[in-house]
Amino acid sequence: MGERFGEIDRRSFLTALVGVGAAGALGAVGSSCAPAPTIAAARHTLMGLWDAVVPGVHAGVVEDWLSPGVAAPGAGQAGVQEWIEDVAGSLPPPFAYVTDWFLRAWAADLDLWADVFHPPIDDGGPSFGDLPLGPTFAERGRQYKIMLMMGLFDGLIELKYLGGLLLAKLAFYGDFWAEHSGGDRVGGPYIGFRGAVGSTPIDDFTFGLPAGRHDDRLGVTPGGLVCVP
Amino acid sequence: MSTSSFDLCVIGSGFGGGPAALRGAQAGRRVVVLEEGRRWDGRPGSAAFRQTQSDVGYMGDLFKVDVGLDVEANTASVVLGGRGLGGGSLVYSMVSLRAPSFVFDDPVWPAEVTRSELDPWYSRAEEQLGVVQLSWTGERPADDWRMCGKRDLAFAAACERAGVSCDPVPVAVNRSCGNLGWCTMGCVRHGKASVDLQYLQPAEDLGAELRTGVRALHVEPAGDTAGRRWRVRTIGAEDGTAADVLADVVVVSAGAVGSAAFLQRSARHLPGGISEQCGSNLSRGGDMLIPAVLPDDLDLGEASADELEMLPGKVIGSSSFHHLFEPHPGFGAGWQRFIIQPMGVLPVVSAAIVADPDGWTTDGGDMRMFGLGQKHYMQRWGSRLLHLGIMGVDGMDGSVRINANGTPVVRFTTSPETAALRAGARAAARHIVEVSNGGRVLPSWDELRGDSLALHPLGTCRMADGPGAGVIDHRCRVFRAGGGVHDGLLVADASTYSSPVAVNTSLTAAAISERAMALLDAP
Repeated sequence: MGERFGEIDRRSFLTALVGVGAAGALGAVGSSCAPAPTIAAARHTLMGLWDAVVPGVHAGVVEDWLSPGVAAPGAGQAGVQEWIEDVAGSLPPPFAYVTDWFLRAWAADLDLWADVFHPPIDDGGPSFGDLPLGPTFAERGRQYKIMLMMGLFDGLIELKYLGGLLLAKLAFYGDFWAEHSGGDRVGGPYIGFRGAVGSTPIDDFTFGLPAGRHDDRLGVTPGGLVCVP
Repeated sequence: MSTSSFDLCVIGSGFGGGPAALRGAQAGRRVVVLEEGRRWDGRPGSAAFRQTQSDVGYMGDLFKVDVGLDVEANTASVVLGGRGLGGGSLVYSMVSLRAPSFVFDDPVWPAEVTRSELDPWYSRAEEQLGVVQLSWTGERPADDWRMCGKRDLAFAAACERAGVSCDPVPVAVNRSCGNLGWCTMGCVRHGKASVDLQYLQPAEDLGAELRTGVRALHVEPAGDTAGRRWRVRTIGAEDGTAADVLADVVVVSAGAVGSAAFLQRSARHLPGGISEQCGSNLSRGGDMLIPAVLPDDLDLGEASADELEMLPGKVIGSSSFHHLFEPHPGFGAGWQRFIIQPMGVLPVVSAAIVADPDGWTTDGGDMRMFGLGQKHYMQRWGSRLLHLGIMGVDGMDGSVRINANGTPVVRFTTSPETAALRAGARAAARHIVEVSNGGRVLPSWDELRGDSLALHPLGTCRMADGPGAGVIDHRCRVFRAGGGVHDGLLVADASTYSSPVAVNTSLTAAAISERAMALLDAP
């Protein structure tokens, strides 16, 4: 397992978490258009799952256990769960996309996803680049995904679980809920960048100071734009 | 099967297709644009253009991905582009630079295409895109939309200590910019001037028909009774519905991979065929991303290093052009020409670039992308990690060939020229960050994995004086294999470049398309 927190590793934690009920909840939700009662029943477990995978804590339940004393806004505060349950305009809840658009798109671009989203698998296992697998990049990616799923869910290979995790991660970085609700974005500062998307201008983005050594060899277009002659 | 008839059919809707559509419509032509991706309105049926990350499907649908393999080396190059109405402009960084004149001095370009010849067309594209010159200072907050960010100042300060120049760049941005830093994902404030907003919407206002979800298969002569010169065979990208589009002029602008594949699928239908050069000379644009860590005590002059942040601001606001003008003194023989631009890279992507396949830990920080590992990563690196984007003259060592199904297969090798460019860029990065400022250059993707990124693919349908050397003439008309051109069949996008342009590629594609459309009716 790649990330260890004391004596607990993420694989053990997630395995236990799935055993408690996330697997059933996710399966039921992901296979339909996310009926609200099912989501409500799984809410607590799902929140724990997001918090385990996405940076951030929610009410200290999960990450306080994993990393005592580390408190920060994160997935829960960014509204991941609310966003996943929310009907946005004429669109169904985002989680419904796990069985529709999301999986199809993901399958199509599997090689890239597998390469970008490193798996938290065993340290002793082969890395993506070292996998002694088939001749094509896509084939390596497919194998990589399977390893990821096995690492996360101890053999429960089900694409929609990972789809759900990625939705949560996108939501965190996108601050989707805040964008919808018009509320403050709080997911960002702790981990070093501003709250993701939002629409409010960042007024201290600049030092507003002259900088650098101008290159006199550059030219200027009639419209006043810098150009290389 | 449905058939529709137009004066001009544009295949693809990026920096080549947008100008073709607008100038065609302005000339009174009946225009149709065929785009395989979707339209980012946000509202079905709406004429308003809107890019927003609030759309669930946005991120996954937004990027067009091709993977080029080097089978012998077992490495891959990920070719990224935009997918949807607006093409590559959906995911570009808005930097709008004219290609240097030395690029066109290379005899691989037709004699007619020079920088001075293209300058009026560059101006026209700059005006249409609304390109503005960024600056370090300005009246706050009125000028915020056209000012450089903190990341740019940090890079410029590091460059200055290294004796290397750094200047603000021209950017296609408007007053709505809020410096949120997510430009490449689309702008929720509509501050990003993309082709859909600047070219296609005006074209539509003039009557151009913008069709999305349509995949163009090939083009063939329409036949004597059709009343038009060309027949473009298409299918629906989702439902597979076949349809024909008849047109007198077809402009292919599907990008370096897509345009070459389209012409190759069309070759057997075209009397006289096409040049065998089609699909060769694929370049990655010299793209590299070199991560580097600035020191905590970086001298920022009057600014406080404690307040340094790397994400807010335009995704690219400045550039060092230094190594276009003189070779790097610390790097042996030869001259690798490249520019260096400090990029704002989202942490989720940054971790993928910085981490090696095993997670690569350093300083006790875990570089993984999930959970606490990412928290540690951002705490340690969030305000000091600089991503240096390199663009330069590489060896054009890739190719695009269709397989039996007509699907493009991308291949890359690493030529000595490309290897030298990468080594030169790394040497420059080390000179700036390590030698002169006490920071640290981290391994880049190609070093860690052997793989590479191609964010500015170009060159598969290069311009030339004849079909032995290229695919199109200087007016972008497709050569017949044995000489002469196919009347009314053009290619206009970055695939037309005869050599890498050493800077961001978008503006040159627009300028070439502008020129080709202006010369369309010339004798």
